[in-house]
Amino acid sequence: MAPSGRRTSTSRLIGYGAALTIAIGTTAWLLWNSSKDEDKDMRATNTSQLYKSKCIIVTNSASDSPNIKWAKILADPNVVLIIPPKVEFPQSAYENHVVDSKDIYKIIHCNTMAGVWACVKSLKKDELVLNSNDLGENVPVDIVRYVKHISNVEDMTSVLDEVE
Amino acid sequence: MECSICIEPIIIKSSTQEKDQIYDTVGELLPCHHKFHSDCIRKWHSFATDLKCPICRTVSLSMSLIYNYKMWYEKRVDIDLNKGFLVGNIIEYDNMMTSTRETEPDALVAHVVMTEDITNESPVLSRMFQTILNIDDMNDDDSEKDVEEEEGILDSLREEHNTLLCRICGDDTVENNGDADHRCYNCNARYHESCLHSTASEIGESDTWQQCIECRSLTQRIKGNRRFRIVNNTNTDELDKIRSTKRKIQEHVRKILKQYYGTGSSVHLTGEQFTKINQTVSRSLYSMSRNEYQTKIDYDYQAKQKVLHELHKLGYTSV
Amino acid sequence: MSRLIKEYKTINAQDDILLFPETADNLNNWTAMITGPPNTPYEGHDFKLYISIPDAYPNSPPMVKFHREAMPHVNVNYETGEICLDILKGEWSPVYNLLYTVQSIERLLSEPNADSPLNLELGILMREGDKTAYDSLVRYYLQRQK
Repeated sequence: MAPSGRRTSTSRLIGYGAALTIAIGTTAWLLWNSSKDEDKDMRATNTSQLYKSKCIIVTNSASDSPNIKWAKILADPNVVLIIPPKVEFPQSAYENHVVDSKDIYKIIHCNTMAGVWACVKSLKKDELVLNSNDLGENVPVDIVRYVKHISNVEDMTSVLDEVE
Repeated sequence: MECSICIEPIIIKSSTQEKDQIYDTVGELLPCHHKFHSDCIRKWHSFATDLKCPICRTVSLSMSLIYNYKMWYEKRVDIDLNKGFLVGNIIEYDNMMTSTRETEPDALVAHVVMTEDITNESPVLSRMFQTILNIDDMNDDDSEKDVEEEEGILDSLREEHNTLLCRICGDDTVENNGDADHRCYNCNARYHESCLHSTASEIGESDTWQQCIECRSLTQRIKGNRRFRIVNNTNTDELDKIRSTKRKIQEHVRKILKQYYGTGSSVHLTGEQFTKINQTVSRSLYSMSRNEYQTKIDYDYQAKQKVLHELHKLGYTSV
Repeated sequence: MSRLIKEYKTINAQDDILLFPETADNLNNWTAMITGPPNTPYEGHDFKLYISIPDAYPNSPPMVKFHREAMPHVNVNYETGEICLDILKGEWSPVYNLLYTVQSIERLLSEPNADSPLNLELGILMREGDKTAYDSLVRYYLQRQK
């Protein structure tokens, strides 16, 4: 009954709140959840239903990880990768980083951080996935107006598993 | 040469062209000297937000109108581009003048019809009017002098006409029925009341709408000041009356003058002297008649006196 | 209207430009195809332009648009296809013609102007001088449409 109760509370939030409230509320809710291993599956189902399209800012912890199946992630038509300055991607050293040439256009390289945020705003994807510690700077406050949800995660590997 | 606005050729006078050619009126922008059909460039000016040349973007300070009429010379009239849109009206007016001139020389006068007592109200116009009448008869030898004089008259007419155009919209103030005329008592500029209003509100000075755009003096509404009207070639009664008066007076003058011309005469006048005296005397008699043949006047006597006076001036004191 | 007929005849004589009235008996609506210039993210793509001629042409400029959501460019409104180009507005001159207009728009693809952005994000990328991001993002939009 507990999971169902949580869903109801989420729905109620959506019902009452404006877009801003939803974003902040959901973020808080997700962060709180991510600490609980047993809720992982439930949350994954939820977010993938709620947020159809994803914009992922690839930072070093993710680009250096050999475990994320980038080729598979990029095959999804609703996924875009943004590569901030000084991040190398895709890295041919990792087997999982070999991307189909027809999907290469979904990788957007930026030379500036201002460029990264401008791309995020332009793309207006449902969900923004990033690791702000990795990124070394805070998410600009106005980003919430351009995405429905921000997933600020410590370990990108775990988050990206759900895309598959 | 081609007009780059309508991409049609501009036809101007050249030695190779036939005499019957109709020439375009050309507008030449200054200082850049780019040429267009005058209609094309003025139409553009009414759309444009500035006075830049469409070809080179140089700001135009003025425009020369180049006319090429059949037997006339190329003639330039400088237009101040900042003074509203007068050009279209001048061209229209001139076309009207020349088109009738081609069909029937006498019809030149048909456009200017007095609606009020000209001798009292408008002495300048009256004089101009009489000159035209006389010139028509003097045109027998079609001398250069006559052409020049005729041009001079057209110029004055044009000037006279322009003073009656609204300085804001460029339209005829007297022709616009129902709209009050405004006149600046300082510089004599004319305006439509509605034009003054809309300009004032555009520049955000609706309190001072009555001020003259050119000199900032107060304008005043004028009524019933239609000194002359430009009409189509229709008022034939009036015209016939003028023509017959002119003809009758001419008969008297020629009758007298012929006595002193040719073989058997004690006086030896050249053709030019004959024409000159004819012109002067006719004009004087016409002025005396107040544009209408007067039965009370003994024209033979008057003509003889005046002809003798002219002959005396030429040194024939014994006649 | 005779000026448009004259333009129609000269354009017909040229083979290398695709500019034609939508129907031969109505010269008020034209279509043009421009090719993405080489060494730009637009290379390899063709773009359709919709041109409508106002009554006052050539004293008023032609109205030109891209197809909606087809042109990611700093001077084009992506949603509507509206173009911000000086000669289509205040800098229009009646000596310009449709061919020149289309060529100017083609030139705009290789020479974007950051001063008058209709696409705000691309405007930021240009002002930041992030050409890599600008080109990547443009390529993303163009490829996505295919």
